[in-house]
Amino acid sequence: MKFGREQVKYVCIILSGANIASIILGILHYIIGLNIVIGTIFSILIVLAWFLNVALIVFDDYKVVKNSSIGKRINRFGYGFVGVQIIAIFCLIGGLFTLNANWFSPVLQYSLIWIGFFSFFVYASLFSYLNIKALNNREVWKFE
Amino acid sequence: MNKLRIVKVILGILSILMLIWGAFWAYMLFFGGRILRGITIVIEEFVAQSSVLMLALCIAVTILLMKLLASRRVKHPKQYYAIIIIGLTISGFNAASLLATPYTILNAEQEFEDAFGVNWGNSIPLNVQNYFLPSPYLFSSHFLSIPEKAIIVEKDILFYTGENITLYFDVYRPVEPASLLPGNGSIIINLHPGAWMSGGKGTWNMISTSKYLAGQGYVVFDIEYGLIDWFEYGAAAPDTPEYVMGNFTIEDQVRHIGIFTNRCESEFAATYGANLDSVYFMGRSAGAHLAGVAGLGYNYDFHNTTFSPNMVVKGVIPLYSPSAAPEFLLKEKRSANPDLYNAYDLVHLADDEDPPVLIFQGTSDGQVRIEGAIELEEDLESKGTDCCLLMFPFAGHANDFVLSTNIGQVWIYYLERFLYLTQNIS
Repeated sequence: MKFGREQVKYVCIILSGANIASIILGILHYIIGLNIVIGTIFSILIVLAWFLNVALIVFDDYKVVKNSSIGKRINRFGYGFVGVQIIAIFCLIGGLFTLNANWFSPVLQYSLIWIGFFSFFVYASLFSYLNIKALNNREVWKFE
Repeated sequence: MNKLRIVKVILGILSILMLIWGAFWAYMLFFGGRILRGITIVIEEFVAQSSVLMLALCIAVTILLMKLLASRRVKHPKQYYAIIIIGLTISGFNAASLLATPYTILNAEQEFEDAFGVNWGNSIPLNVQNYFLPSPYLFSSHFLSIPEKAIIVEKDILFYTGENITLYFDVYRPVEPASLLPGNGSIIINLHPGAWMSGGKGTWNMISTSKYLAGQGYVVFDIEYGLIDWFEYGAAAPDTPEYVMGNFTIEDQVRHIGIFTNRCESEFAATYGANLDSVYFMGRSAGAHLAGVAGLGYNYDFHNTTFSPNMVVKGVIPLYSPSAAPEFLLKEKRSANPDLYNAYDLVHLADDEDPPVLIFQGTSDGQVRIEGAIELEEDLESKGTDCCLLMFPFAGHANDFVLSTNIGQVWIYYLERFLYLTQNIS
């Protein structure tokens, strides 16, 4: 089966849904507490979304024409996404490890966790939206 | 060289440094600090708990390198793909702890079946299970943490002055009436780590666990005890207060714990609504040894005037515990006074009337070896004491620091069930 523009569009739409659902379930995590059904779905969703986001960055790196203006923007967004991921990981490490420390305020501890988790999925949602918007522009892609 | 190229070179160097860091993390995951020793003994405490995030970091850095080296994909494909393979391999090794989680859970289930019977889970009513973690591990909670319940924390309450030291405790208790919660006001006396000569209550005695258990209806006393000022240890715990240091031995430390139990019986239990008929001794590292001496030695003749006689000990929870005191930290050498040594040797103290024991142990622990924990479990069981050893592959010393990791969640899942099951054993 050929993996063309249409297939990429569907994957990007699924990815957008997974990113937005992860944000919503992340908020619900604190509102309704732990639930095995929601928690399991959420866990699968996080893994799926993360892998698809990573795959999308790699895909763009291979298939985007970086000389075109939109292609250049997608490429830069891709760099930004990797940067956000790295910063998010450090925020999560900081937040999770300081939860035990009595010299940090809970506001700072949870802010780090929330920034770490939600910044990734918010940026991921924007990145997948940018890809969907650019898919119909033939100058941006090296499909054929 | 233009500015963009300089930025790319810097990013490339930083990415490679991060991958080297990831490779070191992977090494520590498998071998802990037991080979390199020195500072790696301390680093080991952070490795397994952050390995999932290190996995994500290594993959992110590998992708960054792929983007930076995109032009080499055609001109130098071998270099390009070699870097990708190296990055993904390092990432893969960092996934070891996460991938071992199903094994950890299967092993824990087997330990609980052996101690509490095949259908042990059925003896926990559904309305009680609603308070517990619903699953041994949820990936989502790994990043978002376990939501906290409302609790009351009171800090720095004095319980002993004398011998040129002052000893304080922090208490964690539920807001809701404890009788409505699984803990039913059971007391947990929590003893901090630090090689008998360092450390203190609070941060390094895992506040998150104390808070979590308080939310379950337990009254957690995080207490200080006198620390040995004439002994040096390479991996001393931080935050050691000066006011607890003195010319002590382990006998004195156990005596300080005994003083706390007497004050608890006469005063603190009533003040904080704690249940003297259900008491647990929990401790980490050196604190685990002291918890073992208190919990298993409670009915031992040598210690019969040390602890309050009006408490009922329901369980002992040693995490990464040495099985006996180093003899040089006692008042007399083993050869001169074997009875004294035996009174601080957990296996010697154990008998078939002792409460059940739940042990936490990481397999990559460079300070307390896994072989020692397995031997301790076997010896305790041979003396008739019920014992569950929760083994955490790739975990090092003090790897229960972050409650929401694959290690912390599995630990809490079985700890809260152990506490509930043992409350009702007479």
